[in-house]
Amino acid sequence: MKKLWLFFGRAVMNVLTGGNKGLTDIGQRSRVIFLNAVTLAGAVMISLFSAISLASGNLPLALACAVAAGVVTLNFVLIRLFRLYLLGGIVDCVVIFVFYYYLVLSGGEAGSGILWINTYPLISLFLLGSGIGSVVALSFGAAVGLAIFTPALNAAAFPPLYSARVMGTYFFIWLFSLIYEVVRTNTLRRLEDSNRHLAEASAALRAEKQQTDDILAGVREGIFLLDGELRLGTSHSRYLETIFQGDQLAGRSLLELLKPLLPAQDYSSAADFFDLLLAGAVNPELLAEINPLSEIRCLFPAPDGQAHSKLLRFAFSRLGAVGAAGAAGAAGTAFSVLGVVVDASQEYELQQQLSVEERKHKQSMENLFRIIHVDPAMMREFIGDTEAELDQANELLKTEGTDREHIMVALGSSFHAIKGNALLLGLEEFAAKVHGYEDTVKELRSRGHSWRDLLSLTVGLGEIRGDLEELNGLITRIESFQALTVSRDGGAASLLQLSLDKFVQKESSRLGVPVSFDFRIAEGAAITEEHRKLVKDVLVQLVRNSFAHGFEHETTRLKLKKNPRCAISVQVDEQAGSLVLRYRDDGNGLDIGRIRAKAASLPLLAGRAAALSDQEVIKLIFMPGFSTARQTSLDAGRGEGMALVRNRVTAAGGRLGVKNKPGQYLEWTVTLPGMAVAEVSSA
Amino acid sequence: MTILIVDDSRIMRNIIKNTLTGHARYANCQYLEAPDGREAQRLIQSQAIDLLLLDWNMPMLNGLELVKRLRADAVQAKLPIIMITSESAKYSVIEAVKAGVNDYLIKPVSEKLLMEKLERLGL
Repeated sequence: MKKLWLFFGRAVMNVLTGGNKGLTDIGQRSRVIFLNAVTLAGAVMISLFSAISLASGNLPLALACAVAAGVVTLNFVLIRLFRLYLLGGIVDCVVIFVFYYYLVLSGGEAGSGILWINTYPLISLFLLGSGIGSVVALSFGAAVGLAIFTPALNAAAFPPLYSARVMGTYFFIWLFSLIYEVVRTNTLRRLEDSNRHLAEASAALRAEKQQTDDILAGVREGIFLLDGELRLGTSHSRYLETIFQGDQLAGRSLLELLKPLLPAQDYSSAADFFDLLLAGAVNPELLAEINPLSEIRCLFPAPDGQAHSKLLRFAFSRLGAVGAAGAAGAAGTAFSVLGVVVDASQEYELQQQLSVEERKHKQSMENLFRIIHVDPAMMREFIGDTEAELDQANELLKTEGTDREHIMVALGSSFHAIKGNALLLGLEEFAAKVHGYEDTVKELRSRGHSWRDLLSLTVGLGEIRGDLEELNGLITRIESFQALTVSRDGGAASLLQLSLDKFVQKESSRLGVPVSFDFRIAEGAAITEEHRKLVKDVLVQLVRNSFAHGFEHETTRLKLKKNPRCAISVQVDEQAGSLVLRYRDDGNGLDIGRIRAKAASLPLLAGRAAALSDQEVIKLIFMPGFSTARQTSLDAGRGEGMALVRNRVTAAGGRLGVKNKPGQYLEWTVTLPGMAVAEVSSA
Repeated sequence: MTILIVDDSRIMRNIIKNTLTGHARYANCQYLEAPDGREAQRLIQSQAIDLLLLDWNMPMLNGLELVKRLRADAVQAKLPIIMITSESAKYSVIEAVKAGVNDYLIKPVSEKLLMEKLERLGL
């Protein structure tokens, strides 16, 4: 039933609006509805008149009415088809003008034809507007007046006084219709104006909202509002969802969001901080200082079960005065805190990378500095030696079937030798790096290792080689400056002496131990090129041991009535075709008791340590990994040094001897074969 | 202006006092000193104090406890207090602010920061 009414209503509106759905202008719409209503009602009414006239035998009136009804019906159809509303209105006005005037002239039943005229001002004003409508209505009024005041035309024979009343009534109806129409159009115009303003204002608001939305969608910061319960507002930047890895944040408490991401203590600090923030009693600068979330590491659960860490930086500020927030609270929008959060994880990682780069840079600068201060020949020698070590290590790695432990020992020795040589030239960063690899070898040896571990060590070898290439490049550049100014006297021995002397002086000043260094080569003895590297490796190691284990503190030396200045002497001799090196330091000698104690602490030797002779105890220091130093440092502690010395010497077919005078000195003798040949070649 | 400096270290009290007297603005203030919270509380009750510079870790009565007592007392609820301590963890600072200190300085005392904080308190 309701549907039927709805359908009926729609049908009526369709007829009255001429089927024009696009007719939204209120003024125009009401005019069209009126036009259709008048046209339709006119057509029906005039047809009815025609029928009545025909029935009463008034044929001319019936005919006139039929013509008028036809014209009006045609007008209705044309309005519907062409929607020329003003034209339709003019046609209606003209037809009604003629029809009503006919009724006046014909007088109608008992003079009732005159009654119809009173609807004309309303029709003409409505259909044609107040201006033209008035002209038409007044013209019509004048025409009617002429008819009813002229006795010849006054078919109903109204007395003049009656005719005057008719005209007065007509005039008032026109006047009130005019007033009504003017008021109506003005009101409509104002209504339309305010509608337009409203539309403009809402468009501007939409544009502003769009801008805000764009900002909130595009900004790479989490921007949000918090209410008094720390709940997030609906308007927040989309990036906040990226940071917290989830949508549906609106209405959730920030504290609850943070709870699973923070350690308990940080969480409770954050809760306290928010209490202070909301209370508003603490000044904003102090609040910013004590904000525990100003830089905080949060652990986010990841789908694969592994937590993912982010470094977040939060900043908060209270909004407005307390009173204003309270007033807004009544309206349900009490946001008291504005918060901003950024994800600084990447920045942090970049900083870390930067510090690595800085370290690299420092190494380069140090290299450069050293090269300038060290004879390029010595640098080249270092590079050559190091490359030889690397080649040897690589060769070992490539040889199939080599025992892994053996490779590890060899790698450890190589790293140790490279480190020693780097320290000799003062390349401390470089040495520190190699020291790191040595640590790795040591660690791997202690906990067991696989081929994969070896592979990671070869990466280390590659890096060392890269550093060497860089050094080489630097030297080439420096050499081009130095080549002309520095005169060099070649010869392996003098170069060796020079570099050892520098090494001893450097260690001496670095460790604050005054040392005199004496290096002598006997008449007829010479260090051949093939022995040079071996001799240098051994001597560097022995010098390092003297500093690390041999030399006593200055006060101890004074107490022992020893020269406060320590002494190292190296004597190179030729004996029966062999090269004999005598290295002596006037330090404390080997502390047999301490070595024995250390041995006793090792599970392998614990049982036997006490029974060992002094000579056997001394042999322990050649064991790879054996050291009496309490802590590992660049100077000592790894227990590789003496193992390296012995391995290298025996590999070259040489012998190693020791003379230990506890409290007085320690003397090492290295005998290397092949001197005779060397002598010939050097002669 | 009367300033009360509370610290169990005499050296620390001297450092703070000398830092302040080095500035013309605080050169003519009256300085009082106390080695612990209990003595400080006695001084505060016996005479009017305009500023309290307070250490945290002290014997007898520690700084935080003293702040809580002062804030519970209607007369001293508004006394400006700056806590000067080596307790540098953020949660410690928050705990002190929660207890009612007006500001917080971490030892070693930076002269610039101390001046800034005094200015912020309008002293």
